[in-house]
Amino acid sequence: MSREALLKAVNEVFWDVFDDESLDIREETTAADVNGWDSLRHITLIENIEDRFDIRFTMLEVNGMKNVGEMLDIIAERARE
Amino acid sequence: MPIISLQFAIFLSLILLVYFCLPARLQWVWLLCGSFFYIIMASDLEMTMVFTIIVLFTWITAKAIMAQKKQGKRSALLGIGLLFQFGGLFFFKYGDFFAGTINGIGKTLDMDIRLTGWSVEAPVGVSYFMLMLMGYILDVYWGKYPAENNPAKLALFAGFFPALTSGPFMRYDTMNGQWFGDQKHKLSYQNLTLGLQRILWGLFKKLVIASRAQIIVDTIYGDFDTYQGFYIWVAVFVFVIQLYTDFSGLMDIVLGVAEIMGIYLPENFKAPFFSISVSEFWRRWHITLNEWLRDYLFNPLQRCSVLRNFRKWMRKHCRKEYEKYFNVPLYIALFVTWFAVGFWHGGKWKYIIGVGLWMWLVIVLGMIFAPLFKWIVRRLGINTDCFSWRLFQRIRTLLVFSVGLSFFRAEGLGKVYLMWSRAFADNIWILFDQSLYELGLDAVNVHVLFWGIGGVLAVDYLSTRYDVRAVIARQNFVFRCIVWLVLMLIVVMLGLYGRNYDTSSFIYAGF
Repeated sequence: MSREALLKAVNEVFWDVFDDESLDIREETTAADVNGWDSLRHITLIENIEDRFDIRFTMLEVNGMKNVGEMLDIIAERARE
Repeated sequence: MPIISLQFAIFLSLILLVYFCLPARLQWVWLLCGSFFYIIMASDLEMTMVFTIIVLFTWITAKAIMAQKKQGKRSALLGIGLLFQFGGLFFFKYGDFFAGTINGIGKTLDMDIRLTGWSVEAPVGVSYFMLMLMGYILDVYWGKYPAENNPAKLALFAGFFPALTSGPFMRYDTMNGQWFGDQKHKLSYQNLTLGLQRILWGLFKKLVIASRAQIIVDTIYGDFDTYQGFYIWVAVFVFVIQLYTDFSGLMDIVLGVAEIMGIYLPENFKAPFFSISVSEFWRRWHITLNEWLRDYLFNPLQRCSVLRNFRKWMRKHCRKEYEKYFNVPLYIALFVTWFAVGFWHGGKWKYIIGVGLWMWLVIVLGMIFAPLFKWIVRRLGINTDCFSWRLFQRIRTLLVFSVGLSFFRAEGLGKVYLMWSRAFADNIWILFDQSLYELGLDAVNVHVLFWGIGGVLAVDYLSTRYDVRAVIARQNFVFRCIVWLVLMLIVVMLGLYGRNYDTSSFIYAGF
């Protein structure tokens, strides 16, 4: 899956989790940029991403992701494995 | 050795004098020596040994986890390490709570249980360094960074003297580069002035505001027979101010001391009174504790197989709205986390309820009734994109937090009941006649308190938009001197210190 396709798929997960199809998620997007992306919704988002790509994030990754770009890196890396 | 004392000022001056003369490889060693001296002075040799044993045990466990390749054994070692740390914390802090709770359960079940609690002397700062060491061991287990080779470096992390008794909670990977890097920390004009300014601002909060607020709070909380109705509301809100200026003032002093050394500690407060929800409030109040609990308790708990499978089951069998508004696994994880917030403050139900379960209840009810609130707002045609709505949200958040803190301040749950049962007397006039001048502070001092609170809130508000210290630092030399000189004069002339006042104790240094 190309980086663009990955980002598009991640966007769809965000739309679903945050009930907002106007969200424009980019690589540099952080939790502060998305209304409602706080610690309470973080795990829901993570698990939806995991289900969508059939991967599992480690605890370190769950706590340490700084932006969507890092999330894409991890998804791409897991896909290669 | 209280942080606001002549002894500490002399101690710090000596530490700094030698610190800046040493090469980089010895600077952290000197800070470690200073920290051990501080621990000995604050407790005794025996407790210093206990501190050292805890650090050594953590160091050995982390090294063993890193050396172990088999996942099962790594997990077992982690379990042993955490059990030792949590057990130690429990032993030192919660003996009376444990016995009292068991006895209470026995009484409820009509059983004759008479456990005797234990109050033992604890190493100074045990609530802070124990959590930091738990975080360290978990980070090593998760592979965030390798275990530290040198136990002395871990000892400095746990016992760094400015932050030992009050935090902020530090993470090893954000601090080790600052302490153990190759670059020498030189005495710089910028670090010295910015650090001293921060200390001065902390002294202003503590000596001018918190010390005055304490007098009013103590007067009202000490006598609910005399002070009822709006007096109680005054005490509730003034205590919030007292706690904020006391704790954030202490943090300003701690961060300022470290800044002079060229060490940057994490911030613990970001203008909390400008939060529009309870969740946001707790992301701005005691930030490092809440981030610690999020990363090391709340998130791992949510990822545990039981809650994870529960959530999967809900996703499969329930409508999407249920997951959003009746997210039971999330509420369970939140319950445990908020219980831990209260429990960390001390083994008393007033803490567990006031700054724990009450906050949990408000957040969960807020999530469950979110659709109803949205419907009401829509039906009433309320504009939610304006100053007045945000002001309403801020006042609502403050009110919720203040109610929780009334548990925190009261002597016990019985007093809380007494207090709130008498809080609705019809005496609003006390806010407008001379009554507030008879609570231990005269008219001048009440005005100083009032304007002081206004000043702190104004600076907090500005700090949400600008870096206030940087803005001042960009001004001309004369203007800068005037600003800081005026603040110094205010602290010297209006600060409450001396023989009749206890300036050495801070509320959060007691945990």
